[in-house]
Amino acid sequence: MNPSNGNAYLYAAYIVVWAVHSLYAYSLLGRARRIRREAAELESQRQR
Amino acid sequence: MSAAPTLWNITRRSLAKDLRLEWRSKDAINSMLFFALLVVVIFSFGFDPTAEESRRIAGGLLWVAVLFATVVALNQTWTRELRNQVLDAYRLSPAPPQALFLSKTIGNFLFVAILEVLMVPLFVVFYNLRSVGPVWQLLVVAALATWALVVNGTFFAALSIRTRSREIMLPLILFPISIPALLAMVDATTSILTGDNSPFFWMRLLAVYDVVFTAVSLLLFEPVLNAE
Amino acid sequence: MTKLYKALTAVTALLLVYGFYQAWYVAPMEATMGNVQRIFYYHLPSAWVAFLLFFVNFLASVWYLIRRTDSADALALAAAEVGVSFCTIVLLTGPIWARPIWGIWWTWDARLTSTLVLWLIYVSYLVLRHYATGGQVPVLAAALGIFGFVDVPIVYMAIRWFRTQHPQPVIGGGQGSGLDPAMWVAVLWNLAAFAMLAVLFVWARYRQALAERALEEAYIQAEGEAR
Repeated sequence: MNPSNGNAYLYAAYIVVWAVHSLYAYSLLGRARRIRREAAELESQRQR
Repeated sequence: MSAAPTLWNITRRSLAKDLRLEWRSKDAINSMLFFALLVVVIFSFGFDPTAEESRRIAGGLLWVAVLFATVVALNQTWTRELRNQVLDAYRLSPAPPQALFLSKTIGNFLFVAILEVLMVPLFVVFYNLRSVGPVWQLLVVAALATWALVVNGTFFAALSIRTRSREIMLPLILFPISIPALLAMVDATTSILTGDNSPFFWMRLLAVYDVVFTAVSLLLFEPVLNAE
Repeated sequence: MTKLYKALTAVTALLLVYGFYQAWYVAPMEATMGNVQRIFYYHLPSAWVAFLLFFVNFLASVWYLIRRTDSADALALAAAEVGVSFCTIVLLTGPIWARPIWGIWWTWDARLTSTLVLWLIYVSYLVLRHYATGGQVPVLAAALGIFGFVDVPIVYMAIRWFRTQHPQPVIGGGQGSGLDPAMWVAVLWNLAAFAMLAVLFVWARYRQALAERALEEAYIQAEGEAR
């Protein structure tokens, strides 16, 4: 095993960790936006 | 004059009815037998092992083949009930739902056992198999393994009745949970065939698996039946 | 976002930064593996968090079957989703760690294999939740959640025995190798940080699940009134 290029793997792992968490957070944001939109539509429908 | 509706009586009568229906129609069992034969033949084309190799891989091949055949059998476990609205009638009756589950599971067990009785000799012939270990151990493993597949399979078949793409849903939720049982049945069979290792830990694991999941299935079947 | 949630987010961010500092700078260099070993400070806490979340799913599933509340069902779903997310991280960082050390990506190492099976079980749970139709999906999912968690100890036992029979290189140190006490500090800080992150995710997903349920029912009601 070569300790000198081990760092590349360390960075790769770190990027993977944050990529997955960011993807999940992004999906949460997307769903939040959709829920807000649908609630607004429902409200406007009710008022009609 | 009918017998009291105890768990065992209802299970027995439900099972007898299923077996009678199967025997009269014979459509499921015939197509299953042919499917089992096909699976064995196709696997044989894929692998052409020497006698020593075949002892090492036959266990895995056999149980994967049985697994696929079991899924095809399981998929039609509840279709007759679904078609004839039997489930609704069952829900209204005072009969314990566990009886329905047990009768279905035992029925599937017998069904898959018949498939195994067909497939195993074929495997033995095609792979020139000769076991180093005693055959009775193989029978114990087969019984425990078949029950393991069938108890969860029958339960999950009930779970997946109302899902979209039901046929793929069943194996999809059954396979991950069955992995420890599959590992056990394959390694136990290989251990017995090659004589290299002791199969007894695997047999105990399968027994534990069977007890645990039979209990959980019986416990949870009622809410699932009512959910349907 | 409520004030509490914002406050927790700030705390989590701080913990994550401090955990990073601990993992990359404070924790000592590992004797044989070098810097690559620091992946461990993300790999292990993620595994523990995932496991904890699956346990939460189990509890929520049991609670749902007993009480049939929407909140139990929403919590079960949220815990499973976030759990799968953390479990994915374990499965990705494991091979990234193994590759420079052992030269191969995957060795069917006992712990990693068990994690893979765990991942498969809970992904199948999520598939059932998303593809099953009908108002009774929560009951079915709760049953599957219970089955899945009951299977976990059996999975670990089976795979550990399999590896005893057919030994292979172990990722992340064998049974005997303990952790230097200085390393435990980094592990614990990162565990706290990622546990907090999990809480943030689960809470948000939980609220969203309840909101979606409420919207669904509102729609059905609105359609009923329209007719």
